[in-house]
Amino acid sequence: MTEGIKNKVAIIGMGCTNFGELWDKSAEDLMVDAFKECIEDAGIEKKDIQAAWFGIHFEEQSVGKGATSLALALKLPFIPVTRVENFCATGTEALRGACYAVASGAYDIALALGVEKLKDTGYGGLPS
Amino acid sequence: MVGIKSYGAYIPRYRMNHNTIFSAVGFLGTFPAPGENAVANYDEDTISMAVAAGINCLIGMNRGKVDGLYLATTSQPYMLRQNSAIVATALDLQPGMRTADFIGSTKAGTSAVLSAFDAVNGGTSSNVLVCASDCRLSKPGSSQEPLYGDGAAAFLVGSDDVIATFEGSYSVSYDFPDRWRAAGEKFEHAWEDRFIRDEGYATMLPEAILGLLKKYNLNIKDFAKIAYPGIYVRAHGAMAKRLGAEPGQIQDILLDKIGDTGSASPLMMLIAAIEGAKPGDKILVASFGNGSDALFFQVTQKINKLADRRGVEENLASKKELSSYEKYLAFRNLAPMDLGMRGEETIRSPMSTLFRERQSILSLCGSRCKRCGTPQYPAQRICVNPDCGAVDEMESYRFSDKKGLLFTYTGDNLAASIDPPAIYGLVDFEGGGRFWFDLTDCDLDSIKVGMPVEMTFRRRYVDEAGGVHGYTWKATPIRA
Repeated sequence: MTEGIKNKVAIIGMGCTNFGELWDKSAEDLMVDAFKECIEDAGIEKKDIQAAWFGIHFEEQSVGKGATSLALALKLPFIPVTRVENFCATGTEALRGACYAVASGAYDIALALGVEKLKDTGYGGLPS
Repeated sequence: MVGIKSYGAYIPRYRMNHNTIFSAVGFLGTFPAPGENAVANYDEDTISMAVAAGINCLIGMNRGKVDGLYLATTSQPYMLRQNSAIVATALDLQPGMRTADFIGSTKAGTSAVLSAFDAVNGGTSSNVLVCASDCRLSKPGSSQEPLYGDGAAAFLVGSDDVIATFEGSYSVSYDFPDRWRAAGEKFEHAWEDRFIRDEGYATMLPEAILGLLKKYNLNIKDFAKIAYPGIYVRAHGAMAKRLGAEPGQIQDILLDKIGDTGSASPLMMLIAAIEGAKPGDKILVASFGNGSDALFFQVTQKINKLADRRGVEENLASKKELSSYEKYLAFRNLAPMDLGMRGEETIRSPMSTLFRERQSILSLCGSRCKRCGTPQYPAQRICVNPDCGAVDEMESYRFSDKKGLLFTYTGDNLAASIDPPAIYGLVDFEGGGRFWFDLTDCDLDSIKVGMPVEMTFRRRYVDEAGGVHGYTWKATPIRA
């Protein structure tokens, strides 16, 4: 019998960078900025995070393939990190994954983080 | 007193014997004199060699006080995008400085040095680094091919702690069309040798040198060493006689050892002369190219206090023969070579990323945690030390001048490389920090785990479609 995830998961903290051209920031910088604000907002410590979901779509513009860039930038080396990509729904895809992970009872606290640094292509708009 | 504070030379490791050239293209009628040329590796060019000479020159000097960098060359990779600014960034010099490219003539090296003296004398700069570097392309079979060698020379010019005082100069300038290369051309053109030798070399060099002697009321016998380029060996010897100099006064032209290094050539000879000089010695140096600059110096007591460095002599001794002419053609992209499909992949160069990350990519600066002291590369915002994890408590930390030990390495025969196998490995830096680098100027069977390495600035790729020459730092076994 399906139950859904209603009332089973709570967002306990969040962080968000400014949106802009941000020529002086790399995707890693944006990750650190959002993450720092997020765990301060939640009032938890980094070690409380048991798993992470990482959403980034245009990897060729910034961090490369894989999920390791989140672990490396945020120094979360010994937890499972799942990388997801789904065009403009990439961020919510990461959040959905983290929510299901908590709802399933596998983890108490999971991180969902989405980042995109599109201003390094040399032209306006999305990459081809 | 304005003068030279420090010097640095760089001669690439490879030498190509003139017999190798003759065996390959002798059928075209070239018959080079015995000797060998210094040949830049496939990942070297004017900019990378200028950086190497600059690093050598800055040993024991305060990089933070350098407020000018002039690059002299006739073979600059970029026509638009300042080559000297790339060199300054690679050397991790502070941006509050003046940079300028001196191009278009083989006398550009001495012209840049003279401008540096003017800038220091005039009070607009206090420490100017002058790098002269040339990596000239020659047509296979041309007379230039065995004549030209690759190399770079650097001087730090200032007014305190000088090892040689700048005493004066005399210049002549002519639109002498001995050699020329129009915009967009790959190779130079040259008029007949006898014209260059008799109307230019044997006329303009003495005009500058004798003009200097007259201007300052000097006698040629006053000089311990006289250094001037010698693209024609016999004419070089005849010049000494004409000037009234003894053979012992004449600085070796290095023509049979490294070739004529263009704009770097007179400065390379000046370094060799200073290396062999004692306090009080007077040294005369002159360039040749569209006229001539003649300069003279007097060596000071400070010469004995200059920190040890790899001068011309050590660079000459450290060499490896490049016995394959075909490999030389491949290194210079003078013959199309098949690198497999991996070699056909398009490289994109995101310039906004390069600019943002210039400290990491071009200066090889990482960060050091102010809380726990751990050096890390690339620069991190969250400390990599698991027992620390401090956030945004970093200071910039330069790795380019740190030596290291090779922790592990591999030879990759699948990766696209003009000189396979591609060799790369992990370097543990003295003082801490570990990162993954390409290895260069070495053969797979000559390296081993635990061997000492140093860092060298190299060209990583040429993106033909985007018109980009991309640079990086590589590790290399410490040169003997």
